[in-house]
Parts: sequence; structure tokens; C-alpha cells
Amino acid sequence: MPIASVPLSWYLILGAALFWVGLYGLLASRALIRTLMSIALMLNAVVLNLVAFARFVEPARTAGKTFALIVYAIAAAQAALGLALLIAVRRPHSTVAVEGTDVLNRAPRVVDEGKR
Amino acid sequence: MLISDYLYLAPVLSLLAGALLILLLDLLADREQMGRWGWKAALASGLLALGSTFLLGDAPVRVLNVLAYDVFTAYVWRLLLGALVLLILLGESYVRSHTDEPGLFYALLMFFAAGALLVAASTNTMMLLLAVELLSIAGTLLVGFLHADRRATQGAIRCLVYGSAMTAVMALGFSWFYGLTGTTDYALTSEALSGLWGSSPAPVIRPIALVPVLAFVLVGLVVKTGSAPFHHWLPGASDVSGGFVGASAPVAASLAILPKVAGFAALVRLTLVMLPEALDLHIVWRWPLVGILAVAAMLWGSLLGLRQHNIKRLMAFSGIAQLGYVLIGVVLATEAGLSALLVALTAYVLAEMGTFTAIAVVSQKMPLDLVSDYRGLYRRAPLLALGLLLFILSLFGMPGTAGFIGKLWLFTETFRAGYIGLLILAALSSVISLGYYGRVVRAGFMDSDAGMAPVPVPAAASVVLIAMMVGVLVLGIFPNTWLRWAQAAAQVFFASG
Repeated sequence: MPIASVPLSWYLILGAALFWVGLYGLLASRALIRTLMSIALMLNAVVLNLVAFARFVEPARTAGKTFALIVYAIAAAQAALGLALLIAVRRPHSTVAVEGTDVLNRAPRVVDEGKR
Repeated sequence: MLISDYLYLAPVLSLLAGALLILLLDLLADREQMGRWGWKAALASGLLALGSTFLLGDAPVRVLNVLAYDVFTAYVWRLLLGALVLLILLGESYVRSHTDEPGLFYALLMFFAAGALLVAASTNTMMLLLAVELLSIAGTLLVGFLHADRRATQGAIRCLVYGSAMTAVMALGFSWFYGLTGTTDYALTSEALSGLWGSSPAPVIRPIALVPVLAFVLVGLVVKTGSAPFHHWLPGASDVSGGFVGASAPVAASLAILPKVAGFAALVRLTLVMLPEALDLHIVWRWPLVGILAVAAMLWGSLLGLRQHNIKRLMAFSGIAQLGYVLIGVVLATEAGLSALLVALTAYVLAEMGTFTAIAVVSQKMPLDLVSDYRGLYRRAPLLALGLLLFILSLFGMPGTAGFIGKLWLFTETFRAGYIGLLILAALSSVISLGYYGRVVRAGFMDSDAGMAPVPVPAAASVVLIAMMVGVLVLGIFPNTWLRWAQAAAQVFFASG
């Protein structure tokens, strides 16, 4: 089937399906990465809707396509923020040197006390 | 033409310029210099923005085709910028004692406020989405600002996840509106929607099919701006951002004030400009959709407030109930109802600003923020106790305070419009709220202060406190000029139609 003859409703049904899959993923998962991916799926559903509408409702003008680009920009900003927060959560555990040395210093001492 | 458009953006631009300047200075200057000069730079650009709104005149202008500057925008902008200036003053002592990146805090606060200004003025769904996103990203970063504290980061993650999901929900609603009308401008959408169902061969889609779309837009906007019952995270966030350092009441205050005021302005514009009044859609939007939110916010806020022992959480729930009353103004959607909404919103800002200042001062000393920490406050810090009493009376609606004027007018208009059920629920919620307001007042004035240390009040905080006390009383006793201004702001939407 050529692309041109795919009706608008198919795009919208696909968009709605994507959106609900994303929403399900958001509600069902606890891991932050998977949550962020689900949100990206929801935003992609919105973009699909917008582009399909732009193609069928007003092919001569650009409002819908601009809107789609803006939604992409927003999705990118959110993903960046999410990853930054992820790093902020992980950092205290993995790299803070002061804590690490503290633990290392303490461990032999406990062993020493056991020996005495 | 374009140049004069940017002239009307002066308040937003001066905030953004201030934020960027502070970020730049942050690179050049050392920490101590930033601590000394950062808040002054922020204050200067906040005052510049506030001052520039007084030079712009009252004539309605469309700015760059996506924003509207009129008396309503001017009212909301001045409210927002006034709050921003006080928040910078309030943030000063917090920033100095609790973070080593003072510049970043002010820059974020100003991006946050710039987002709020744009939300309040936008007349295009694309612009609204972008502005809401600026607001919520800056807000998320403010919540997570103390990233050494894990609880602050977790609060920020919660903000991000809920917020982004709601962006998607709201954007989906807007995409459907765009698909139906082929435009993203509010006024053009309104015309197209009237044309859609006004024409004689009625289209296949009935207006009622748009109800889920309306619900998506409403839920998205309301959760993003934190103005109604869905935002479980807001009491959590204001608590979490407190963390162990305690004195992050400035962050809690900015979350409680700026996005909500902006969100209400956006809601009013959506209701009155985008959804044509002749359509069934307009009625469905006001009642049941917004109406149910109002009822849920009022009851949920006052009932759950009763169970709180942490004063920040208590005030967060009280704020939810307060905004439930303000939502009634959107349900009414009349000229008088809208003026009453603005008046009640202003009273809310004054009282909330004052309360959070008092909480900020006390939590410097006692970071747990328990209501029992306020025992015998009138002996330990008379100014704080008196201020807290006045703000709580204003939130409850005692005659002689600004809150009374707002509540009285809202309830009168509700009665006049015939929403008796709504009025009864609002009154009921008011009475319930007396339960927790009473607890704070009793702790402050009746319980003994045995074993409690006096609380020193920093100069900046007492300036904010006294200004808010004077504001609450003056607007409560001589409200005439203020009411006329609110009426003029509300007329914007009704003069032509």
C-alpha cells in the first residue's frame, strides 16, 4: 500500500496506542531509565499525532511541524535533566573520594581490633 | 513593529539577562564575592523587571503573535515579580548558609520566574507548552538544588517524572485541538471550533467527544503548575527539599507561589479565549471538569491538612484548599467572578509569602518544622508570632484582612451564579480548615514556652514579614483601589465580546 493512501485515522490509532503503552510503562516500572523511556514514548505519540495532522489538515502551512519540533526540543531537555539527576543520585555512592578513603581506613582497624 | 514587541517583553528579558549575567559572573568571581554580589544582581534585575511593567501602559497588545500584554497580564506580572523580589530577599540568608553555589540558585530562580511570566501571558498552545516547560525544568532544578542531600535529588526526580508525563498528556490534548482546528492560536481555535459545529451539515464528531481532550489539557496544566489535588508530589517536594538543612523554605515558597499564580492566569485565558462560550464545550469545561477539581482540592486539602504535624506539609495542604476556592472563580467565568479570583489569588500570595517567611526563620533554629516547635512563639519571637497569626487569619478569611475580601467576594458571586452546592462545600472546607489553623495558633499563643529557646529574626526576613503584614491589613481595610484594579483586569476578557 503506498504511503499516500494511508488514512489519517491509522496514524491517530497508532499514536494513541503508543501513548497508552508509554503511560503503562510509566506506571508499571520503578527504574528511572525505563520511566524516562516511557515518557519519551508518550512524547513520540504526540509528535506522530502532530505530524499526521499537519499532513492532512493543513499541508500548506507549518504550524503543526513547528509544534512537532518544539515537542522534540522539550523531550530532549527532559531527557538531559533526567540523566543529570541520575548522575546526581549515583555520585555519592561511587566517586566521592572522602567517603571512600574513610571506609578504607576504617576496615583494617576493625580487623586489627579482632586480632588483639 | 518587532522592536516594539520586544519592548513589551522587557520584564521577561530583564529577568533572563539577569540570570545569564549571574551565570557569567559565577564563572569569573569566587564564591565569597558571589555570596556578596549575587543576590544584589538578582534583586536589581527583579526590580528592573517590576519597574518596567509600570512603563508599558494599559493598552492591550499582541506580542510576537503568541503573547498578550493587557491589564490582566500586567496585574499578574506585577504580582509574580513582587513575589520574586521578596523571594530573593528571603533566599539571601538561606543561600549564604546552605550552599556553595549562590549564583546558580539566583539564576534558577530567575529562569523560574521568567517561565511563570510567559505562562501567564501566552495566547498560543505552542507558547504555553514551551513556557510551562521552562517553568517546570527550572522548578525541578530548584527542588534538587542541594544535590549533596539525597532527599532533595529524589524530590527532583519525582518532579521530573510527574512533570514530564504531564507535559506529554497536555501536549496530546493540544495536538488534538490543533488537528481539529488547524491552528494553535487561542482566538483562532475558538473561531474554528465555533465554525466546526456552527455549520449546517454537522460534522461526525460531536462536541462531547472532545471531553477527554479537555480533561487531558486541564489535568496537564493543573498538575504542571501544581494548583490542584493531583500534585501529591508538592507537599512531598516542599518537605523533601527541606531535607536535613531545613531552611529551604524559600524554595518551598517559590514552588507554592509562582507556578500557581501563572497557572491560574493560563487557565483563565484558556477558559475565556480558547473555548467559545456559545459551545457546549465551554460549559462542560467549567462544570463538571474544573468544578470537580475545585471540590476535590478544597476537601482533600482541608481533610488531609488535619493529619499533618509538619508545618510545611500543613501549609502545603492548606494551600491546596485555598486554591480550590480560587478555582471557583474559573467555574463562574463571569466578569465579577474573575475579579474575585484575582483578589483571592493576591490575598493568597500575601499570606503564603508571609507564612513561609516565618517558617523559614523558625526552621533555621529548629529544622524539623514540627507544629510543636512553635510552642509559646509569642514569647520567643513576638513579631513572628503576630505575623503568623495575621496570615493564618487572612487564609481563614477573618474580616479586616485581605483574605476576607477575596473569600467574601468569591462566595457572593458563587451564590449569585446559583452554585449552591459548591458554596456549601466551600464553607464546609473553610470550617474544617479551622481545625489545623487553630492548632498552629494554639501552639504559638497558648502553649507555654518552657524549655524552648528564643528565635532570632534576620533583618531581611523581618522586612518581608512587616511588608506582608502591612499588605494584608491595608488591602483588608482599604480595598477600594485594589478592587477597581482587579475589575479593570477582568474586564479585558469581556469588553469586546
